[in-house]
Amino acid sequence: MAQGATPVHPYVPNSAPETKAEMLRAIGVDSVDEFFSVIPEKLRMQRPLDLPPALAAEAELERHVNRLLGKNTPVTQAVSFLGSGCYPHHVPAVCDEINTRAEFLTAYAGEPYEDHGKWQAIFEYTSLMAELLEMDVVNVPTYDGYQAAATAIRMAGRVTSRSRVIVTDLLAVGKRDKIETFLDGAMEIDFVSPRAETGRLHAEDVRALIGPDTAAVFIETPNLYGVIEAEAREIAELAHANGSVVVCSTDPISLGFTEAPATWGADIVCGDIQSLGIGMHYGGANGGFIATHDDEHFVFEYPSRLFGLAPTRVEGEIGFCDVAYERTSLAMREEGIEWVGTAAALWGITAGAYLALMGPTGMQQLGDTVAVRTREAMTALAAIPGVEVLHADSPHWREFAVRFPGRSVDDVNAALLERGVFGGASAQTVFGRGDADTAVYCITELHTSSDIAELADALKEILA
Amino acid sequence: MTAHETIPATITAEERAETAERLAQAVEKPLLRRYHAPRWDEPLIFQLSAEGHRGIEVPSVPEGSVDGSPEAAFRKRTPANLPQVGQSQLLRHYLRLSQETLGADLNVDIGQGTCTMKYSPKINERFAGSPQSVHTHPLQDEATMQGTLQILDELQSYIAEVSGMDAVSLQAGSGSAAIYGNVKIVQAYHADRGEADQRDEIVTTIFSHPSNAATAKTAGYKVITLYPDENGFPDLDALKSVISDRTAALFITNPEDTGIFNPRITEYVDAVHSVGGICVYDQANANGLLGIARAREAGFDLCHFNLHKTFSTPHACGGPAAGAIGATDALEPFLPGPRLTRGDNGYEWAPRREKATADIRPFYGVIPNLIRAYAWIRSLGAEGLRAVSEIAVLNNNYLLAELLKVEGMTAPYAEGQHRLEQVRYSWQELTDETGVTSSEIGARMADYGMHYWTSHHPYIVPEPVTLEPTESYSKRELDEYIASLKHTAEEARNAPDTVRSAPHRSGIHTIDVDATTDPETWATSWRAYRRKYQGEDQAQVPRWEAPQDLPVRPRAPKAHHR
Amino acid sequence: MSPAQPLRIGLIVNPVSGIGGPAGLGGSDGAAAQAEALARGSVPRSGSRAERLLRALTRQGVTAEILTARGAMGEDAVRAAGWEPALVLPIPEAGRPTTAADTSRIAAELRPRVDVIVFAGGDGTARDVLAGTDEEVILLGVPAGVKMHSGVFARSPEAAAGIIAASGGASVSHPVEIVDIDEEARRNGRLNSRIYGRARVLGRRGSTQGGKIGSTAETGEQLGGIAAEVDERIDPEAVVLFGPGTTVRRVSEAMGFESTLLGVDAVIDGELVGSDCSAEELARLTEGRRVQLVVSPVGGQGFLLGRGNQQIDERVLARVDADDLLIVCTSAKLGDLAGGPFWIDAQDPSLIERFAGPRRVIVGRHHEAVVRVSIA
Repeated sequence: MAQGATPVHPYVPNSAPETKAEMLRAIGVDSVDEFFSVIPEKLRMQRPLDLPPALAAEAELERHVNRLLGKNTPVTQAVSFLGSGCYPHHVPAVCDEINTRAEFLTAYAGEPYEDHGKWQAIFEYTSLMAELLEMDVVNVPTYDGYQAAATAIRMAGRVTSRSRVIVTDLLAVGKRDKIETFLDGAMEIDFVSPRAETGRLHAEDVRALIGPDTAAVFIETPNLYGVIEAEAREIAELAHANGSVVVCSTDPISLGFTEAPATWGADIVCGDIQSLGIGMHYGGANGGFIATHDDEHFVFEYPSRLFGLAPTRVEGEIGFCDVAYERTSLAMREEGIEWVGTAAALWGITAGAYLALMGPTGMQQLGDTVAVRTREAMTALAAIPGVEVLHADSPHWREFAVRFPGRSVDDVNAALLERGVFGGASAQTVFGRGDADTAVYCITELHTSSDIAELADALKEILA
Repeated sequence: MTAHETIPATITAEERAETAERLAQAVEKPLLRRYHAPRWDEPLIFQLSAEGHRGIEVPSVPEGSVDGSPEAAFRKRTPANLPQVGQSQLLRHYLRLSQETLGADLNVDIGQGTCTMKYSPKINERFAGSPQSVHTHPLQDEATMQGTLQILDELQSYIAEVSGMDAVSLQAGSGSAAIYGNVKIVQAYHADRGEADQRDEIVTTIFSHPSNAATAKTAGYKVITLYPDENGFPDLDALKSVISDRTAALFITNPEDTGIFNPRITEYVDAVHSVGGICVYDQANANGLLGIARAREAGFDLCHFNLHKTFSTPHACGGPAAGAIGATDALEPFLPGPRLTRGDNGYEWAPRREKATADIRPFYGVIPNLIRAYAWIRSLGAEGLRAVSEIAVLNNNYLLAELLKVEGMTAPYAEGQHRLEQVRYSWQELTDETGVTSSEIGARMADYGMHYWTSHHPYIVPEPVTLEPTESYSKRELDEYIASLKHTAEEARNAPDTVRSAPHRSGIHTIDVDATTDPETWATSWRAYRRKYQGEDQAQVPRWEAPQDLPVRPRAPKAHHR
Repeated sequence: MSPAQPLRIGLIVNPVSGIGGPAGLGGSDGAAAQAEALARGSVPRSGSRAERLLRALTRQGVTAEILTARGAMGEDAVRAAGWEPALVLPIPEAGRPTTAADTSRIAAELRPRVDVIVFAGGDGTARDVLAGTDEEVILLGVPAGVKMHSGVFARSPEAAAGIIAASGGASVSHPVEIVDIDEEARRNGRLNSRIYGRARVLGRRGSTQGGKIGSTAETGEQLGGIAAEVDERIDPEAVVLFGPGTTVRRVSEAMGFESTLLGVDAVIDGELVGSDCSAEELARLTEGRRVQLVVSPVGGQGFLLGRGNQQIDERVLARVDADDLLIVCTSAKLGDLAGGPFWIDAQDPSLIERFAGPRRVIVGRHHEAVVRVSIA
């Protein structure tokens, strides 16, 4: 290699001088500069990019990035009770293996021939979700639970040709914003609040808001206080009596414990699949699902792709196809057509593998464990002076809210942090409003009784 | 008997020569592979279920522990109808499916044009999958996350430098999400100036990604699409004829999916600016421009990158992905997502900007992909990024020069000119001659272990194929693709039926796409299949019923048949 | 899918198709033009084209029954390609040139006996075949004429064979317009086109879906959205003229009436006030009112307005403001037309100059394309 020449980077093989020269000769030009001659000078960068020196040696890159990541304290090196939209469930090793398989990781938009495996894996994800949700139609994943909720509500608007929706007021601030802006100009929102005593919605309050123009009622269960929406069935009844659709957001991992929302009347079920064998990734790993019954009214309103089984020209072979019908040509709608893009397919495959791995017994056991531990934590904290456990009589799963009268959650959490504990998030952070003394604690199957005891002891000390 | 009596008879010279010949053929493989896709004939997971088999055990509590609690009344009576599969059985099943998937790691994936299927370095998987990242929670104290926060901050600065823009948001989860984010920024900008109602039109081009038009429509804009003139990009006069004080923005890609760079782009930008519109640069096709040309110098106000294209994050069967938005100072106040700041306590999340548009997704962004993109840029540095673009463009022009030698293939527009990083070709001449279409050629390419993509719809270039080599594939690999394409074109002439009925060496054969696309026949899940085709009963549940007077929604006619 | 019985193909060759072109005549209609062409030494091409089609079918292993007409109208080509026709219909003796009526009659006789009528000819032949049959007939044209603007033609004999091979027993077809250009006007230097009717062509419209992740599913028509847009722009005080063509027809259906496929209709404030109007009627209806025009590009060349639509004459056009020319077109069709340009023809170009240049075309709800309109 000539002195002073740029080293050949392992990611750019044809920059090797001999190969490069051979190719230039084949094309019939002297230098790569000729290819860029179409770009006028005034548009060209007149200097190199101002970036730090390359860490071309893999060992140097690894050292640098590991040093950075080493500054993080993962929850595995602490005791964390954070939840509120991102949940610390176990990531099975088999899910990791499937998720990092080179074939799956680097595939993209191939046809159901060369990418047959991908299509089958995604079809199996939608089918496994269908079993869990007890509904026949589940979409190929969209970006995340926020998008799924916003889309599901607008679907309900189109199904009913009505323009108002009743929405639970207990939403993560980002989810609320997303729903509000996505509905802007298309639908009006009537918020219904949970009652302070129970921490959940009451059918009466929904009844007071519902009217002839209500397209849908949107609820979440378990909600962000961890409370199971105990009057969901009644709310669904009154919604259906009014010709309104019931849209229910839920975490699929909770359906090992509670009944599927379809059983009490949900028509569109949506949510995020992050809990299903994916991991937390600092809040950066999500996939959104939308599920309905196989009713033309609903199926025609999906903007997402739907995969279906198909035969091939050889008997006994399974093929897959897009169930692609003229959805987006329904241009009589005043609302805009949504779009389909690269979203979260591999997380879907991983989530499907998780559900199959867990099976009915695993899901049931996880559901029981979470319910029991959550109640255990509620009981333990209620016994601490200076801690008020809210909504204690309501049924809970995986989360619960507490108050520290006279204290700010931020102060309590700072003190907990010194003891190696990540305390539950403050309501102000989660909801964008509310009291500074209220926090939401999360308990999963990863928390042990000794973790709960450690938390209780720490709080006792701090609040004394 | 002595030792040498057991030595076998000498091999003859002829036998040796024959063996040499056979070996030579085996060790000097031609470019054209006798590929066969893995074929497992794998059943659906449901067929592998067996009573009592367990995939994984979970931490459990003694039976009856829920009894007596407020939760008891809500406990599911019967377990979910999921399959029961042992752990290695499940792993085996999915690994087989992965083998039946042609990831870019395994093939010369230059056939998925516009997707920029470059190498996703394995070292970056170590970082994205590090426990120091996987097991971190978005709401944990920033003091415990200084590593990731520094990565995000530095990545923002790199994207700013590559684009020339002043401020960056990394929140979008994909390219289309970033485009939607840009549409909302445009909307907020004009609303802030009291011109929201007045400016209700967005202009874009037919060769831009369909999400440009679709997201604009979703946000309520009227969309005006420019078509290319004989140069392959829209006429400036055509643009000027449709812009006015109703124009909110121009969303344009340069080069477009044809790989042709519009050298007069600043005139387009100036024209839109002169009527008060915003210029938004869809940089999905940035792979040929790193360190060479930037959004800033061209005068754009907003841009976006697909990190799973130019910046190497893996495509993952269709996500997760990541998108980055770049903005000038004038538009910075409207960027979505929490702001990262750096103070005495290190990096912290600051409250959202007052005029910020709504969060595009939960929390901060697709963190694993942001880490991968960061590492990729750090590995290459400024010179490396430039080499990426130069070689991506070299590879593309090499491919172009070779493919134009194939009879029946043309590269419409810009005849005789070089392209940047991709080309949209046309097989029209071959189709005229043989009747074989581009799609059919694509199906046959699967028999050589290659991907192949035509174009977005509607096709403007007839019988299209869009190829994008990127910088990642070696010359030999490019030659392999060329050889396969050439061979398939010859087959279209000499054995059209073979091409027509392809694929033959795939995991499965031609799918009957029409058999199950009706409401009566489609099977969107295993559950749906059992009900529709096996007569399985489903429990009756409370459901919404359409009211008698519900207005009938018009349905478009079916796509084909009688 | 394998059909239970072989495909029954009715093959009609128009022996005089295409001879006008090479002879420098703009088309082959009329006995005089044909005689002139033969005198200039032009050799009929359609028979050899049909033969190429059949040879291509043989290569592709297609089994079919061919029903045809005697001699130059099909039998010769069939036998030359090595096929044995299943039926040969009689035609007049050789020596008398074949006429349009012959083609129509043969088409009519074949119609009940075949799954698809394949003809070798041009627009004129297509028109003649249609005249002898009906809108539901399934056709496929092997290009052999001079002008082939109808969407019924394959691109080549081999391409036609490909379509037949892939057609699954003629179970897949889609509707097309049969158009023709007025030959005499063309020879006199004027271009225009007319729709003669519609039929079905064998095969699927466009290619099979190669869905890429990230592409919006903009397949299929957006006619409802186009209709909604048109509806919004209509002035209740204006007289709105709906031009010919299937796109305009489908837009009108979404608006609650059915425009005349081949003619021009007039609507005022939602009421149909004139159907298939003559030029005089239109002149009368448009007097003293704002005039809005809803038109769509017709045929393979994208004609918006032409002398063939004599109903919309200079008097009417003079009353139409540039912005009142509402052009409608689906994205799919616009793709077929490669994004334009569209054409307008008029004897006095200065009259229609204001319509030329880059113009907005309605392609869907809140969606327009910019297409160049040029003067023919």
